[in-house]
Amino acid sequence: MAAIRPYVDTPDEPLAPGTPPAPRDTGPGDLSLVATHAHAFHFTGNAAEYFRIWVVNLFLSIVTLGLYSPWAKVRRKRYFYGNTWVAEANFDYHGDPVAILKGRIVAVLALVAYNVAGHYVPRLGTAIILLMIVGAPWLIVRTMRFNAANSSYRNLRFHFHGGYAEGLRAVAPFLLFPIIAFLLPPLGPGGVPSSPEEFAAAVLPTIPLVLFYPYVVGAIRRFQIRRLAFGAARFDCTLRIRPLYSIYFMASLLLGLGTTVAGAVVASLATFPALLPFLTNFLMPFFYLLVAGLVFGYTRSRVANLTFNATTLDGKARLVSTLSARKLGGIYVVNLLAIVATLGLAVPWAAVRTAAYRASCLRLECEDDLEGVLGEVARPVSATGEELGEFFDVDLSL
Amino acid sequence: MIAGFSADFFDGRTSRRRPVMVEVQGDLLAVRGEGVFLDVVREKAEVLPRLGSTPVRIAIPGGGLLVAGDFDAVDAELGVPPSRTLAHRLESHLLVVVLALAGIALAAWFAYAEGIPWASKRIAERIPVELEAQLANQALESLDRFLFRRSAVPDWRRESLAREFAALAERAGVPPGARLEFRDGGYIGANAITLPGGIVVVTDQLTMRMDDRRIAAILAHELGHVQHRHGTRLVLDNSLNAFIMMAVYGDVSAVAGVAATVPTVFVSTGYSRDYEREADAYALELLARAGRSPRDFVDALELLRPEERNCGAPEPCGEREPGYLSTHPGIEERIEAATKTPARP
Repeated sequence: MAAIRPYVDTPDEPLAPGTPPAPRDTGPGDLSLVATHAHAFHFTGNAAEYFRIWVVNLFLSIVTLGLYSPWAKVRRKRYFYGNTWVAEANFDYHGDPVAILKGRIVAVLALVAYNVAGHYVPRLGTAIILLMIVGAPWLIVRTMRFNAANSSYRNLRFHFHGGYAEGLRAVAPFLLFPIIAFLLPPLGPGGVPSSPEEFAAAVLPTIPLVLFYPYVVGAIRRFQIRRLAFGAARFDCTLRIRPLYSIYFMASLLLGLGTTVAGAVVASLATFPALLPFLTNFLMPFFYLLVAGLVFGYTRSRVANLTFNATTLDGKARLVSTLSARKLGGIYVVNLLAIVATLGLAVPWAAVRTAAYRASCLRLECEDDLEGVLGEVARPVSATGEELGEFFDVDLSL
Repeated sequence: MIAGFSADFFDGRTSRRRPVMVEVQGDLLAVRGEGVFLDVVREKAEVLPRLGSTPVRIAIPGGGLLVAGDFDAVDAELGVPPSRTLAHRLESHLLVVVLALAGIALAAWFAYAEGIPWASKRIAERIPVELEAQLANQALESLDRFLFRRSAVPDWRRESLAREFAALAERAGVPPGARLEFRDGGYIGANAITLPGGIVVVTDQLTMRMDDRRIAAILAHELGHVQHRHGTRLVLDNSLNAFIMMAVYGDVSAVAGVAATVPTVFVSTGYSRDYEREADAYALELLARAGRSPRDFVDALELLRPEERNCGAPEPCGEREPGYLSTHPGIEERIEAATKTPARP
């Protein structure tokens, strides 16, 4: 079972003189903020408790054929928000299950429509992908608004101010993908390329996708944080794009190296025919999980550190994230192996220990003690509850 | 005894936290603390649903919020309505959790044993044979590129086997797209493969291992796969299975969802073994209808038995592996099942 994190809050703990400055990688827009107080985040959930919640959620979702799943989702999110603490207060989630259910029904209908249409008119599939990419910023904005408006800390809601045009600008490079795909000749039936020309046609549109991926990740994150407010206090984010390119470049090297080593090991063992079932059923999935966990741990931790460390609140407080790529990668690998070995029963345990580690690596630093900084955060006149129910809840996590 | 409970009060206008004591005084809830002097109508204070060991949250009129750590103290003072703790009581009841787990296991077993095969059979029946045939041609093309080599089976042998195949196919009543192909099997050795859409591939190594009569028995088995559309169904089984796993576990994270699909290799090979048994039974029945002896099939299986010293083919070598990972049932089991079938007079 996961170690149950003791309730250790650090209220108004002054930074000791001579405390090394937090690792920061921010742009020229960085504020010259003299932090005197640090508040560590911590997570108080435990695996045994969440396991019960998860089992009941899953059971009720199955017997209601999925209709209960929005209620399950709200309970899950409330559990993780409610157990995340900073400066002697926890977060809360207020999503309305009925609004989530409506959103899910629309999403399922859209998926069915896409599959049916794509089956009869192959070209229509590309057009729908184009539509989806144009629609994606709208979905991101809606999701951000829904999630922000339904998240609270110290009884103050968050609020997302972002608009469609700005969201579209963030994902704009991805528009090249369906445009190129649309201009090229369609693939043969079944989508299997059978000639060099067809192979090129299948690969070409993905080039801008790969090339611009770090840019789009960074642009979306900046958009998400810069347009976020806590009460009347606005967040700012000076995340730069260039370090993201090094991260994803390193990640692709890591991926290449990992698959090469794994491939070499498997290939060398494949000369023994008696080992073949073992190789295909155990060793290859194991390598797959190992490489996936490590690469994900690397990108997630590095991108989260970069993003959080470039984030400030109202010029008075900043976030500091110190996730270790190796530790997070290790956590992911063990999670994946445990999930496989227990046929999925370790999912709650994995979710809790990941949340605990992530929280333990995050802290809030401010000039003043927190009551002074946040005490002035007033509720803006417009950010009230009336906008809640109408939004679709669609989780798009990039 | 100390009356009331301690809580943090957040007014909803600023983020300031104010420690308070809360006490019921008649119809009112008295909230008292430094700079806080609040009387709330008791009925208007709404306790939010209880969740694990997270603090109790009480919404009070005017947008304020009380957060209290000790649920029992709140309950003793306010009397929390049972509807607010229903889910929590289910989650903390060990028996409920055990029953829910059993229910999930049962649902998973039902989906595996009944639901998924049923659905994939229905879907497979709706897929046009022409589409399958097209896919089969493509599948054969890529197998030719990566696995097979050109066959060296002489024409006379091909013709005689093609006649056997045509006779059995006609008697079986399989769709006209079904056809026989010959290939050098490469590392899969003596084998016969059915592609979705009814292309049956016989390897050169198989034609060298046994005579036409026994190969016909194998062809009858392969026609069972064609007739029951096993290839398409297996693909559908695996897709449905992965889809369900993603839906169930993916809500935590997409990666967890993918990881949870890894154990489906057991499920997948399980379906595969079921289909082999079905094809075996079909072969025996078809042979009987064609006036042949089930003995041909048993002989063919005997000839496929792996030889200890020359264990080059992955499939027969699987026989000594635990059954769960094999795509085929053990040869012994299949021979036994075949010999038990009463030969028709």
